[in-house]
Amino acid sequence: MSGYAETYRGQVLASECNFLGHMNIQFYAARVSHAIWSMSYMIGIPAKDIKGGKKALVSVRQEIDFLGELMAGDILHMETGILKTTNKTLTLHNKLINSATGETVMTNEMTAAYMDVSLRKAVPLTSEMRANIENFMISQEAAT
Amino acid sequence: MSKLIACYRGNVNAWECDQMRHMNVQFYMSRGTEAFGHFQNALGLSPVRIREEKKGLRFKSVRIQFKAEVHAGSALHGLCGVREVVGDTLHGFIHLYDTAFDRLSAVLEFTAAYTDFISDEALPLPADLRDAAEALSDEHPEIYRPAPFSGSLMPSTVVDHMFESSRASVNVWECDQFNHIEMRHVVGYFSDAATHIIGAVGLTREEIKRRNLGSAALDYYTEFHAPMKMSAPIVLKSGLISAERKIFRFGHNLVDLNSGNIAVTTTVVGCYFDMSLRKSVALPEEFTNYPKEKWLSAQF
Repeated sequence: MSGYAETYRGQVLASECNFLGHMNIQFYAARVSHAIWSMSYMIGIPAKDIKGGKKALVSVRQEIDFLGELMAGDILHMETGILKTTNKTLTLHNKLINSATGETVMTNEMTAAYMDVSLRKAVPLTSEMRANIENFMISQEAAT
Repeated sequence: MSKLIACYRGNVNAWECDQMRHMNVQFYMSRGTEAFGHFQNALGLSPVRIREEKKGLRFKSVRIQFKAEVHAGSALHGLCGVREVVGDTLHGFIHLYDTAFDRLSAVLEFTAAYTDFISDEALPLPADLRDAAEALSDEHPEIYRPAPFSGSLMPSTVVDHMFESSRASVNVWECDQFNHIEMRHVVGYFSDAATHIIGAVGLTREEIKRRNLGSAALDYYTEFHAPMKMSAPIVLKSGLISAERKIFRFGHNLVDLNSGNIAVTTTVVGCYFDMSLRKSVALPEEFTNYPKEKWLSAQF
């Protein structure tokens, strides 16, 4: 068991903020999308399969806690760990962190299925992927 | 201990790719802008401080050298650093890597000045910022540094044979928190202008597609003379600087029509490539047959 890895790093754009002056919720989801892609590479889905639209991790369930506001110009990064796996899925824990303050501003628990895009079906995780997944496993306690 | 700063990690979205099936130049600049936030924070200019003081670093010049194309789904990460402090100007860089192949995709070498975002005045570097920048300064000999930009550079004056390639006003959604246009959108104007320059030499995108060709920027050098504010009316003047063998050069001047001043000047070096082989080819003859007396470089 080793833990979280950085899966996103960037900044809040003014155009992502709404009339309340903070980043709108849809743009938290955009960061989670980046995190899933990054984790897809990290667990060993081949680049040619990802870029060729052949294999992907696709979200099938999410639970989100919004813990802090983000304003235009804030810098942020995401850390992602893996809580558990099944034959065809893995459950990710994503923490979006304000990079300047260290405050966790969102947590997201997501179940993602490994999808064969040509079949439009979830398929079993490969043994190579399972070996790589070990590098990112976290405990439930670490995610709370 | 490394003085490199982690400044970006993410992926290329499908909607960031153009008809050449690679990420459009403006989205390299959007990564550069995000990375610049982390660069400033590492120097003590946190987002909260910038919001409260309404002062921070602003690009004076950006050179982007494109090393390898990236595509929808490509994973990217960025590292940045300070090269040196010269007077009140910071010299720095941002490297963007194609993560899966550990390959350098683009290099942004920039100069930046400490600026009041309300008055738009360039200010002396505050002592704490100078100290932090000097502490992080490093030539970074271990990582790539482009050779100086070679060949003709677009001057910040409008010269003959430039034509209007865009006319617009700065939209609200193109602006940052201080109501200045974000760099991504400036580069977006230059990218769009490429099609108009192609038209000026007698080509169309359809004909280029028929020949199975694509075009790509290799090198951008941009100087920012003045900020462009929300709702400002703008016009872009563009022209062909030169076209020889495999390389074309475009020049752009972005004019703020409120003041009549040139706000941004850019020189673009690019090439054509075979869309299947993804290899550069000789320029289409429409470029090389374009009358040399109309080249902007004839006036430099």
